[in-house]
Amino acid sequence: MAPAAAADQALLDLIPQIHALFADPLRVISYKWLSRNFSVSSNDAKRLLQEFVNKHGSDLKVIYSMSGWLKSNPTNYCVKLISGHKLEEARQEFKDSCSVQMYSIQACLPKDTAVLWNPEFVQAEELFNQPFDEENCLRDNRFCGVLNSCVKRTANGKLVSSLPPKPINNVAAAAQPKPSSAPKEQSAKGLQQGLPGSSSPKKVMTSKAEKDNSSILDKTANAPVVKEPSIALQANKNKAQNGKAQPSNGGSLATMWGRASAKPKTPATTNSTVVPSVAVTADAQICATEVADADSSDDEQGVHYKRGSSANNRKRRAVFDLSDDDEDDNVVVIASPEPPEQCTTNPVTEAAQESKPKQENLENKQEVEKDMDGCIEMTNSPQCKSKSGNIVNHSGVTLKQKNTDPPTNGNKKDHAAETTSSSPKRKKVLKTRIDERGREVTEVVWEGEGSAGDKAEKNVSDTGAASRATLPSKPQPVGNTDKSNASSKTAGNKKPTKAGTKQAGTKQGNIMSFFKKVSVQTRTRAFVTSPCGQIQVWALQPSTIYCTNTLAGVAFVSDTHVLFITCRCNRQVYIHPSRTTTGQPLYVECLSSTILFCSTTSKAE
Amino acid sequence: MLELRLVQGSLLKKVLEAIRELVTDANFDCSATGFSLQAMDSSHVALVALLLRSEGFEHYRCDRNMSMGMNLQNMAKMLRCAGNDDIITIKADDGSDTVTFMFESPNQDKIADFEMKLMDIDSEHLGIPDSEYQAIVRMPSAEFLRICKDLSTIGDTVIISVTKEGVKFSTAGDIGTANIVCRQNKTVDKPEDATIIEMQEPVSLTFALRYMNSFTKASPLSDQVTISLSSELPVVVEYKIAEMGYIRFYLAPKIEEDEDMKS
Repeated sequence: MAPAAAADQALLDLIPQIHALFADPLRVISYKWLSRNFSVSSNDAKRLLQEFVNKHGSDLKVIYSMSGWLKSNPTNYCVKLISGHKLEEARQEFKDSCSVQMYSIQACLPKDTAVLWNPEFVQAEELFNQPFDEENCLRDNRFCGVLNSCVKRTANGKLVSSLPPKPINNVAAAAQPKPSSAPKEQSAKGLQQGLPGSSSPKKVMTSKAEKDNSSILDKTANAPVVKEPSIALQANKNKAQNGKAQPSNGGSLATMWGRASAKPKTPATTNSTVVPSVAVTADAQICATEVADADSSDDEQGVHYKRGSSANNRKRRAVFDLSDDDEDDNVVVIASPEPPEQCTTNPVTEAAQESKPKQENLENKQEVEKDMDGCIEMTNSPQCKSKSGNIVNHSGVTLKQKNTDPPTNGNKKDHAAETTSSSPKRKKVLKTRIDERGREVTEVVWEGEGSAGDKAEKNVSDTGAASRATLPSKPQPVGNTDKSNASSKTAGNKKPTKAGTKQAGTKQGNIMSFFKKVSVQTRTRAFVTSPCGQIQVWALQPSTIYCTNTLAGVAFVSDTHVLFITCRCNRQVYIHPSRTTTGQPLYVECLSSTILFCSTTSKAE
Repeated sequence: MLELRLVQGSLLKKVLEAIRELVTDANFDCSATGFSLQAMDSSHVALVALLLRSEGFEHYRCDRNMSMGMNLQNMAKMLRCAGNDDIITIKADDGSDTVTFMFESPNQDKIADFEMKLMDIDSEHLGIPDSEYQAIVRMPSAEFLRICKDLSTIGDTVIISVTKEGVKFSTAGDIGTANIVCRQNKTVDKPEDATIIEMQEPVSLTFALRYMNSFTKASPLSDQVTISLSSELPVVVEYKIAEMGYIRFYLAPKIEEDEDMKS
């Protein structure tokens, strides 16, 4: 481990700096903060803390994160933050194998647990607020540890490639897990330590969602459960907004995160706020589990899934080159020492099941639980750990998990539609409508909620959707459907048409909005039957009437006299006011029954 | 009893050709004053109003107001059977559900009767107020036809702008843009070639060329077309039918969408 030693030396050089930082009595130095601040991996940060504690252990308080299966019945997976002196005590609650890792060091144990992670939020916010072109550890997702090492990011938004999948692309530059023995050492050290502390266990999480969550956490500790998900949530949210607000704008992660910083979310400082956020992202983490599983199980198949879009400035593409053992120096060392055997078998079936296009989260959960059971049966904590270690890394970046979702079904990648439809609650539908020029346009549209994965899935479906969208009879250019797809709502009702920009802003008016309907009947006719051969007509104003089956045919009714009209007995007499009679009633009487005519209104002449 | 005898039968043929593309079914209203029609196209964007006054007919008898629902395609089919010089007589009985077209050749040696079934059509009549228009352009109908045809090869919409200089028709499309300006021109040999612009204030409105093109189908009816524009009103494209009446097309302008809708 010569390189590791060298790296360690580099790390040790940081210890004086930590010491300087530690001089601030109010400061909590967590591994995470450290990791971001010095751009070292979280495991290195933990090791650094450990070294620091070893050297100056006397006058500081340590908080450990402890995770493992509880002895209680039913057994729960639990992650706790434990202060040093309670460590042994807490260990009793766990089954034999649990992991103990450094979480933070501070001068004194804070009363308010929020103090533990607050600095990290502040830090994250600062990092987010940096200009887009500025490199920092959050910007390129360097430390998120998402396993799909194949996402390639270009910082300033150059399109990498928009073409559909190509074979292996090893250029993928993102974080690639490298096997390491660090976790073991770490936990071993943690076990040795058992420093005396002053305060009580910080936090115990046993709710179901948390359980799911914590089950996929381990050595990285407890706080991430609290924080990372909420960041992820934030990112998710922002992604959703992003997807809506600037649909055609490229899906640069940088922009997204820029937005995230623009709308800072209140950090979760209390348990009550913490819990929901954890719950929300639990699902996402489950997705992550599946992704991880699929990743590990799809090794030989070498599923290469590349995201790119014909639309425009998409900046990412994923190429699933699933050789796990890629050595990359910039990489977080978190991954498993050896691929967990047991855990990879389960996922296979799981992945198979998941090929059902629409899957409920619930199912996912259950499956993950099953999965966990499998792990515990093994009672081999390193393996179990390593697996969950993978997942921990996903937890921070839930938004990405959607992106990586399709590969879970990668076996059937020739069916683009099916692949993409694996995301729950959303489906692709053909919609036919009449556009403003009266043409029938059929489009493939995503229907459903889930705006979080919106962009990603649009993107994913690009080829499929485009080709399908062109199926319908009307020869819409592919670009159009693409565009309207990508910007589902806003651009959906506007068709890019021949007239281009000018027309885009206009809408055809309706003639009905200019002219009022003529409400009154324009013609009224009535008929009477007279057994006696005579009808009487009178009117409120002089008018001419037409009468059929009478001797006269046309008669003039004055406003002063009742007009008697002779007609044939028992034959219907049609009476129509002439057009000169406007707006005034006309009365026709035959024997005793009176008929009121609504006379005509004058029509537009 | 209805009996309308029109010596210049070709007029009726032209009228039908002018409106049958825009409207499929319509009610013809017959009254003592004349023979009229008002109908909207199916998308309610355009409206056509036709009036043939009773004085224009050689013989006009309409005992009572009558509304005859006709399919214009079918009516056009029948009228196409009439020669251009034929005298056309429209006849209908009260309460009957058919109308009869009788075509007489000019020298009376051939008489043809075509009876067409009427249909019940629910049509909405719109009251069209007499309005003052901000700009009225009179120009040769052939010229207008040509402009609309040319512009529709470039774009989908036409912007008609009337200024002191003249009337400008412009469009934009994928391949480029087009602008056609017609200046006022009263000093011509033949009055039908004149272009006359009466403008109270400058107007600029956007219309769908598709409709404009179908309006120009009425060009054979008249040498001159009158385009009346007002910023808040539909454009009126009017073709006068000599001594008898008019055919007017109303077209709702395209409206600028709100900014927030665009974004």
